[in-house]
Amino acid sequence: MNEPSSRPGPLPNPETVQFWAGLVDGVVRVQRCRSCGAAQLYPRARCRSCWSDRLTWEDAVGDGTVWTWTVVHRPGHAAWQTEAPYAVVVVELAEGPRLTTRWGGDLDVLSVDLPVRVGAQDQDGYRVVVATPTGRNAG
Amino acid sequence: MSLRGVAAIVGAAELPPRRESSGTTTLAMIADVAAQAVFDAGLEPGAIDGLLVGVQVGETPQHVAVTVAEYLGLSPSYAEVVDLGGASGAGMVWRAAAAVQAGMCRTALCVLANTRDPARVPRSPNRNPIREFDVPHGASGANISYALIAQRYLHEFGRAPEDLALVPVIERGHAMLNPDAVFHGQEITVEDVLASPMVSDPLHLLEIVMPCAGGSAVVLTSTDAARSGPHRPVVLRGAGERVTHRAVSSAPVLTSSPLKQAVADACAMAGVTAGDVDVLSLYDCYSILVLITLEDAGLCPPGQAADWLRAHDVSHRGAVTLNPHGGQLSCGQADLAGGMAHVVEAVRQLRGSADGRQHADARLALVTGNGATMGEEVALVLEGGA
Repeated sequence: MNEPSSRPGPLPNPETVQFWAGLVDGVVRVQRCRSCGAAQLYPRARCRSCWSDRLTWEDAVGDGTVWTWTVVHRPGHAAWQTEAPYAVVVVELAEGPRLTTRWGGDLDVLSVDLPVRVGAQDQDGYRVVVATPTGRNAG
Repeated sequence: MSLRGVAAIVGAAELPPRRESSGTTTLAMIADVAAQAVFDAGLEPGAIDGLLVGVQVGETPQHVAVTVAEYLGLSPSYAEVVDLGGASGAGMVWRAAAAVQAGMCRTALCVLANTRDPARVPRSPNRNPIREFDVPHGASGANISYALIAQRYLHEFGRAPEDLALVPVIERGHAMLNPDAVFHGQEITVEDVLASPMVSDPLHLLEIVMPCAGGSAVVLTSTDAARSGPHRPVVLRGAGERVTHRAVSSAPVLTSSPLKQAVADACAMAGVTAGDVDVLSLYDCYSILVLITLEDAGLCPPGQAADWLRAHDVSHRGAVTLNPHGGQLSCGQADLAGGMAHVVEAVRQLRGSADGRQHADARLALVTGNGATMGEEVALVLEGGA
């Protein structure tokens, strides 16, 4: 076995650097197509719907719902073992796009369609996306 | 039969060659030149249902075609990597024509692009969206991806972990008649599955394939030439393919897969329905995939695969048998060869050479293959020859 390395962090590139920069500012950003109006994540050089390159960035309002979730007991990367059990959540943003996030609430409240807020969380010297329950009643 | 005159090039584009391409990525360049070629043809992206890509230096070595399809928002019914070095471009053209002739697609995009940034090693920034956006959030590996699928399935259909556990229990039972299975001789119960360690909620250890070593291969020739072979020929009657996404967050839905359309296409080409099939050789990397595949094949309504399994004897003695060799959940998964093993078991059954687990009347088989996270899907209908 190799020694467990540190947790793999973001790898910003010219298409995605504004997403990661947004987290430093505390906001989740989505791409919006000026040609067809579609919103998308992950960031791309062109709109995945109409292939226009007229893309802009906007701050997501931060509301979403849990599309699906899991509690990880045996991580796929050894550096996450000390964190287990931990949750991985896929959030559907109010703007439409979905993204994988960390979980900032109790594990036992997780359920599909739970309303959440998304924001940024410090992790190993960089920032990642975290979802937390809104506190409103689901449904 | 030949390719003479069956297809024509209707769009073409080239990015101006330049010494360096700092500030862009290979996927971005693929998108740029693809857009120019498709718009040159007077087409919209939605018209593209065939996708041929090359190996991209410095980029993701596996799942290459689906990475490009996901990036471009395409759902091709034919997608592949052509890995012929400098002959890849020309090699794509006849393959695209063959795919059109075969009815596997109508309009194919053949695209190659590469960045060149001398400041970077490797020379291209590796655009692997799963690595970029899932891994930093603790989501490494397929176990988590399929757990995310299973969780949504349980919620949407109000099903229980016992429904998932049923799959490895049935398959281990079948493997009692397959001495080559890694888990031959090790029957399990639903209680055993639910008592095995939780890997990623709701998936337990016994619902997940075990990696192993192995290999599998088949040889094809024309049906005419096949008649002079030593075995009863196994004829390809239908094929379907859909390639859509790698990451769970990019899946169109989680409780069905693009395999649904691939099976429909394969059955339409074959002139059969899934209900006509005697042997189901269904890709089974995880318990959840078998349930969704049975539903996508149209054998039962969405959410009811576990009920269907309880109501049918799917051993080799049943009217229709499911993975009579025990599937990968019993045999182990020899990486990519694990999927080909489903083809080989279908061949055994259709030849009548499956020994103690031979289905008595095996004439038609449905074989499925699944890649990434229910985003690289293939269905075949095979028929035992006379």
